[in-house]
Amino acid sequence: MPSFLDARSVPRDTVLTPDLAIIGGGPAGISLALALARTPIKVLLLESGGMGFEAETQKLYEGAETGVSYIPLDATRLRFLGGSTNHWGGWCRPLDESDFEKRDWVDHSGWPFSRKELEPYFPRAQELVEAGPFLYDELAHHASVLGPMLPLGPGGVYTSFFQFSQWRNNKDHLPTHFGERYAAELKQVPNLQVMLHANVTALKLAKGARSLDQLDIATLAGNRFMVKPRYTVLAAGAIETTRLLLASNEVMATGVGNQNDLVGRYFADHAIPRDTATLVVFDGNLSGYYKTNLNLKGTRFRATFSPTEAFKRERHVLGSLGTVEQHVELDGLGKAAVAETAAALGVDASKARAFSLGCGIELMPDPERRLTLTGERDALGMPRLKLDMRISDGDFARYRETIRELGRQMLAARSGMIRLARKTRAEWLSVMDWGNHHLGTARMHNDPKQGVVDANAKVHGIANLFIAGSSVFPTYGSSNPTMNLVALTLRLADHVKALFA
Amino acid sequence: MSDGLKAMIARRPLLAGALAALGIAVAGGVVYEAGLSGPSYPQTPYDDLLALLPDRVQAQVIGEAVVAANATFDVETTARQLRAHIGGKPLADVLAADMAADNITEVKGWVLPETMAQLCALAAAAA
Repeated sequence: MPSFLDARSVPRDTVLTPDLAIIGGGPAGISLALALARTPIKVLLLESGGMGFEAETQKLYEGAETGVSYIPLDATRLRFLGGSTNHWGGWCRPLDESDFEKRDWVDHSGWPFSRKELEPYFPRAQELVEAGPFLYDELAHHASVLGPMLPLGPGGVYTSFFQFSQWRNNKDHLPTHFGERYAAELKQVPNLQVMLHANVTALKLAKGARSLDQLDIATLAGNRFMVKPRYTVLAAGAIETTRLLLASNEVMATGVGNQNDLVGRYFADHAIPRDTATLVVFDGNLSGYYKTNLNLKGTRFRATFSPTEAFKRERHVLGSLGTVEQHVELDGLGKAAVAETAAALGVDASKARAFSLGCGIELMPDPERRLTLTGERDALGMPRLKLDMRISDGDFARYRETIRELGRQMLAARSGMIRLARKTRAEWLSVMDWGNHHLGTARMHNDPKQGVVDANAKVHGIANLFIAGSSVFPTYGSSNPTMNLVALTLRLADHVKALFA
Repeated sequence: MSDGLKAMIARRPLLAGALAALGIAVAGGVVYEAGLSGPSYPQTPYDDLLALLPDRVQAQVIGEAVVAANATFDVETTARQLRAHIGGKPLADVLAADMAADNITEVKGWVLPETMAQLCALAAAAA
């Protein structure tokens, strides 16, 4: 079996000339390489790390933070083949239709195309993440085999379903780690060369700044060489993509693709504050698939609570999901509220059980939530980043309104009730956590003044540079990004094939 | 001892047993009656409304939180509004209508039908 190349063994000052260079061996880079496998396109995939965790390589991710507390930049992602799929939770769900729409209550919203454009790519993306048959909300018709669904009255929240990536033949039932899982397949692709320990330190533009001419490569061991590809796809994740674009300022002083000061802005993630509410089920019977992921019809799945498309439009809320977490005890007021309300509704609550409710919250796009370069430099001499993390009171309030609606619907169905546990900003911030989903720093828009890349993910103004991954998502709903970014990358693969046809 | 006397002696324990049983039944009836009528409360002008509550003690716990959060709470106004709103309908029906009309409120985070919260507030104010 052919092996991967190691950049440390490439003769210094070598110039490589592939048709296409892919920067980054995460889910986007690997999906793109596999999608181009049966083409004559000569592809070079450049991965900074090796096949496993290396502390010195991981240190390249260190950066500064300000604003709302966030996960350290060197802990929120992994820098070796497979990227952050090496530590993901495997949650999968396609984006909703409204996630793509221009909405007048969501500043800076609107993808350049609708969900229909991505739909042909979901089945293959589903295969790559190994989440089983593409079922999602169809599971509502089948879940009762494993136990009843929680009755909800008519309203703005419904029971939505996530499916889970499950690495085929993995004895630990882990989600698919793209590097290890697809290494053998990548080695079999005739026109593909995967190169490990290859750090891209600069995107060098040609004179006139209309095209990308050269990639500078460096290794931590001190080797340096160049790549001169016809086309390049930057697939390094929303944070590292930003760093490379901004740091490559030799020709364009503001950085590549940053002529309108957009690169690094609109950084986003799913906020996942803990214990946001208490959910009480009057009869105490809550099926297992609300509390953990279970097997059914060839997939692992879990039920969550999400706002309907109509509710999002009517109440001007964004995407969110509520997840049932662990059993909790009620205080005196809680016991009284449950007993008295259930009795007034004519329901027996003698076996009532209470659970804490977790969540995932989409944030309103915010240009000031951003990454910028600092004066600090890493071991390769590249400037480090600083993240200014923000979350608004409105972000909390929109999610709270959604869960309040869930409470109303449970009362209407006489199935249970809700206590909203957080109200003030201080209360929310005291339980904050994040999804480690990095999005939005190179957003997609047809207008160069509003987006870094166009509808084909090509960097505005640069003829041969594309960006793959969730950095191009303008908005992102409550769905985890991986399966969706793989689908978007497969769409980009079709575009790349057309360029070479 | 004549057969008649023997019979009388034999009946005495039976009679005693029967009388004892009657006593238990009577006492049980008293207890049962007490259980039906529930704990007694001082009469209030709002008893027609408070009688709708399943458990006034539980309701008071909720109601204290409602009153504490509402500086302008007025018991007379609340009672008048509740009578108009409920209009003799069963409480369960009124609560269902509240939910359908999004007429809900929060009591220390608990999402409750507005009528329920106001009845509880009345119970707390009347206690």
